[in-house]
Amino acid sequence: MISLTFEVVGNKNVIGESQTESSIEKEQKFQREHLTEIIEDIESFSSKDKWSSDLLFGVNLIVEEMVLNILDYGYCDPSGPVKIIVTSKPETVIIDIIDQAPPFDPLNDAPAPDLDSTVEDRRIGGLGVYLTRSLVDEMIYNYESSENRLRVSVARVKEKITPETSSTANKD
Amino acid sequence: MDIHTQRNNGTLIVKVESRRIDSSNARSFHANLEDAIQDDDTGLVLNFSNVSYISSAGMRVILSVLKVLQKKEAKFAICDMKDSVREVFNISGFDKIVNIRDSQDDALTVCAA
Repeated sequence: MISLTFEVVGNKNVIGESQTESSIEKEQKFQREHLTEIIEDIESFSSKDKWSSDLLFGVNLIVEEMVLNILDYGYCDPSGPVKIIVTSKPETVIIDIIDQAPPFDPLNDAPAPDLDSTVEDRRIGGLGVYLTRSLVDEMIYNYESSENRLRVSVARVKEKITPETSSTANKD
Repeated sequence: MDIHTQRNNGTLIVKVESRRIDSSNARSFHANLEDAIQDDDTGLVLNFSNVSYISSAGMRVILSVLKVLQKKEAKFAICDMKDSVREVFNISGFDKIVNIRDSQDDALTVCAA
């Protein structure tokens, strides 16, 4: 039998920092299906919090890839609890993912992705972690009190580096 | 996952009706694609105009279909890709192994070549 704890913590004000912090929190004996629910919750959270579509895409991808990694390589079967906390700040969105699977550091323990092989030889292992690492601005991993604790931050507004997009008025 | 198929001179055109290709529907996407591809198809065009999200689970399907097509020497192209999806292809290095075209007509030209 699967026991399921489902928890949503709504808006809470952080006193002293004059900012509003909103978070979605869930802790469950996690199954793949639950990911769909969480993604839907993040989507509705994002529209209330006025995220850009790029930000939503990134957070969505990070949560899916990291949680699947925990389910497929961390817990295998049976599953265990995964806690996901999405915290929105003025400049960044922070995603905390906490699980009790054996230690796995996505920064160092994931296989290197195969980005250059021909179609015939190419393997897809490690791609999820690699995608995540490409999309985040900061990634911190700790293993403490028998928990994997991953914290990733994504900037709310991505600096557009391509000069073409910032075309200045032509005075000629 | 719902897909819409049609054929044009031996090329199978598959329009993905879902807005997401992720771990929840990748398996059915794969199965539906495999069912749709016939032995005498000489090419496959995936129309991604509805797709605004793809994760590594979806990329896995693309790679595995690509391997099957290459074995039978069939061409492959994806068209009408949104920027965010395109970025996932670029980061993954899939832009080097997949023909990505803006329009379905351009993709068909790739497959007819």
